Amino acid sequence: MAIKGLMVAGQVASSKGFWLVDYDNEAFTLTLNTSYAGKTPLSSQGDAVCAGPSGTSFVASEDVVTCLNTDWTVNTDWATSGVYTVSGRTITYLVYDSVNEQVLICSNHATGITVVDAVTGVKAFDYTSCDYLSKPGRVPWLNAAGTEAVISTTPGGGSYHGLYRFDMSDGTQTATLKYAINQMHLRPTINAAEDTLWSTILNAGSYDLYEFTHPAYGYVSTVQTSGGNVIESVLSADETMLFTVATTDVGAYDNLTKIRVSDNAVMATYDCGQNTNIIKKLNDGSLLVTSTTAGADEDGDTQNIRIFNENLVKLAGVYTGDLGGTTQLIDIAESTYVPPTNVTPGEGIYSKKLVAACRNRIWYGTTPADMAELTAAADEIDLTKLFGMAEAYGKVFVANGTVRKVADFTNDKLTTSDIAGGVGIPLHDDVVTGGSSGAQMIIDLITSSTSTCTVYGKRITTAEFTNGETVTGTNADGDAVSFVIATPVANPHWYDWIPYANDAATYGSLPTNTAKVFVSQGRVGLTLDNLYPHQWYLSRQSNPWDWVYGADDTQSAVAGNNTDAGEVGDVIVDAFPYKDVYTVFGNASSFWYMTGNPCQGGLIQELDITAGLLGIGAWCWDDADNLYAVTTKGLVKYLSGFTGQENLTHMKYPDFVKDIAFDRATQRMTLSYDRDNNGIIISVTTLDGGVNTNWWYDLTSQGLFPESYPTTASIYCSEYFNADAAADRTLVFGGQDGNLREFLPTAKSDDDGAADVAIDSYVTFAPIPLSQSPREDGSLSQIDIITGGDNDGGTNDSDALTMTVFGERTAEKVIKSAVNNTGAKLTKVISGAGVQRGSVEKRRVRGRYGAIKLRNTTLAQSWALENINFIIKKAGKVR
Amino acid sequence: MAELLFPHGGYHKGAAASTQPQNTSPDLNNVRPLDNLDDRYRGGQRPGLDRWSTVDLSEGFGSPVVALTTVTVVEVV
Repeated sequence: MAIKGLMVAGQVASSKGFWLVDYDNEAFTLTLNTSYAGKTPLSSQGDAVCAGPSGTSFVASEDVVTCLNTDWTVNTDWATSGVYTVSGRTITYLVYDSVNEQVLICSNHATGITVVDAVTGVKAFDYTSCDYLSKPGRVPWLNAAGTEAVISTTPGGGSYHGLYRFDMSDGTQTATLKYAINQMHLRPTINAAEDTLWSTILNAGSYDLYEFTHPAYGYVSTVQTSGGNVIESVLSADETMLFTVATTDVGAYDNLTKIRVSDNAVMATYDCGQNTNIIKKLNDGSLLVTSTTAGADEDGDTQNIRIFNENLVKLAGVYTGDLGGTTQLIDIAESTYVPPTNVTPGEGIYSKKLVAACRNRIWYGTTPADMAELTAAADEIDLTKLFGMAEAYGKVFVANGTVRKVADFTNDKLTTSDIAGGVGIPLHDDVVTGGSSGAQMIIDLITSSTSTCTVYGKRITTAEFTNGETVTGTNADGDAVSFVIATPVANPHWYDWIPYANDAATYGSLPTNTAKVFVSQGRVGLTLDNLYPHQWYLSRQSNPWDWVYGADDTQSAVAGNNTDAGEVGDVIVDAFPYKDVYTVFGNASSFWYMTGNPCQGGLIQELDITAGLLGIGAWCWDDADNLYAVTTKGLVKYLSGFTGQENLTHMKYPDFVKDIAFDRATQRMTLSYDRDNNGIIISVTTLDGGVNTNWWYDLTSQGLFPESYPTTASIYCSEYFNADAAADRTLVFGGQDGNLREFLPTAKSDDDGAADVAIDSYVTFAPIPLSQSPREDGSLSQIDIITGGDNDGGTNDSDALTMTVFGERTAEKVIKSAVNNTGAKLTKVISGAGVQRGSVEKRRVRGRYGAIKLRNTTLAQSWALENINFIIKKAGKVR
Repeated sequence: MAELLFPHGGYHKGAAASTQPQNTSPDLNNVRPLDNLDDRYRGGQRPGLDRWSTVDLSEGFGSPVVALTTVTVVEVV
């Protein structure tokens, strides 16, 4: 349905203003929108509305022109803040010059016309030659080229009356015709190429536009314009037809007349039954007509805005009560305003921030480049002690021994000194409203229950709270809330994690010495309590400020431990949730998990009593809900739904845990699921110095691959940052040197903070049996290494590899030789990518077992392997 | 002519040296099955560990980043 807006300007003694009317030009229905009634007083002297560029409209208000945007708001792009003032004059008419993008402001003053830039509102010039445009001087006309304009002045004689033509570039008068003019209209060209001006002089007449001479012919009808009534509006219906609108008192005269230009024949009439002022041709070809009072028309309807077809058959009408009275409607402008019914809002309603803890400070940022310090947090945490943080409700909750803090990235901060004590304090989740601003917020936390208080809350309006206003609401107990605020402070904020209103008697107390924060089913949890290491604590659901355990409802705060009845629970190493299903407690020698609401039938069950979690962060989840943990018995995969477990290192690397020799006091272990490359990075980093041992567990091939990083780049922590921008999304690692890093596919070296360093990469193919008999040797020859790439200089071309070949009598010895790089039988550089001439090694290596080691240790180089081809031949008895 | 492919099964030292399982290796470092030159499962050097942000959170003091998390902020529109 095509809906457009009409701006109807009226002038009523008690309520001057303009009105907006929506109309469906397919169904010809009109709907009055009175939102703007009476808000902009209009000139009492004449027409004062015109449509401007790009859907803007101009409305005159006595001696001020206001520029309105397509949404009917003031266009502040205008140089004078959306208004242009012509001091001491009454504006009678506005004309938009689309060629020059100017507005002609006509007034009843010696400075008859002021020409203003329609886009900026800056005045171009005044036209003064025509003297007064006395009441109701009106209807300027512009030629098609926009170079000349003609204005007409009032009927009734006088020295100032007539037609005036002037140059649009500087306002110079170029011609005059001294007649009393009421209306003028450009007649359509019907024969010669003459450009003729239709003008009405009391009744009607025709004049050449440029010469202002020889009336060619005139239309005079006493029916339409007798009795001193004047023609108010003239309009071309098409090239051969003309409509006139005349004012009459009652139904004695027809208001609308359709006239054939060639012979002045009357083709159709309509009696509106009242004074009729303006006729406009709408884009769909229909006619819009306004009247003043609501006299009955030919159809018996009392309306003052009507739509007709070209045969003067009424299609629709609406009566605007606001336009009643005896004064005239002034003008109608059809706006290009299009209601935003098909505008789909953007999806940018949230943003992700990465939050990091480093050197006793908190950092945050939405992109890599904008990582900034939360300065209020500086030195308020002590990172020489255990530290934990977790996100909930747009905030980051911090536990650092006896320090508990909140980094708040979502709330507004209001300060007040008159919080009422007792009843009437704002409660968590109350909605309060600013008395002046209209801004609203959902209360999150207040720091005191009386007098001076800081109020944190999530603002839910675009309107913002203002200094000095009174904020009111009704709290959850039904009591009125009211307090006056000082200047609001935008987030982020940094403050103590306290019970609500800092009222321990009502809202309980947080545990005093913990180092781990986790979130479970809307509860914010704490654990790693130095005095009660088996204990975990969970806040009230959806309220991290309520720590009253055992309240009589299912959302109550709750505390517990993980054990069979009658026993003290195992020491908790880490606690971590998964979705809203599980909270897993990795303990020193066991795993437990909680399902459901602990205050409503939730269960705590054993997951594994044969292994414990090695360290904080020694776990991760994959995208199939499987849990991976480095335990006291190896790398274990706990299957989705905890239906079973699989020890991933038991067969491949029985000494995995023994060789790692993880020491919780001096080392940190981190497991990181890499969703982009489908694998898990297991990092063991020595806290002092950053010496590291790492493994890539490939979930596709289920293989374990050792890795080593520069000590400065060793991994202390990780987070998959699902950033707003796709280019910034990656698995981010916190490094030993304070830098944030990622595995970058295009990077062929590691960053150690100061410079790039080479990656020592190698793989050994061993042992390769060369003989079927324990007493006979074989030989390895014609070794051909095919590396990745097609040697065209592309980015996917492998760099050179060094091939070392070993041959020994036992498998174990050939492996040892390869591992230690001792006893190599031959070495060759495989240069270039793909198949290379001369890359086949023809020398032979003798032994019962062989090994081929490929290696690259060069800065800014990388490689890939297609395959290795070789020939094995008998070489005779073992000597 | 014999052919060897990259040991996708990764590191393995759980069997007798003479019965090293196929597609495994007793000696490798900084290699992964998915090569980073052309994203093919054919084996190659791992990707480099590079800066995600040029901002040094330790401000030159060389202190480690000890914790990371993500916070989601809903905008008022």
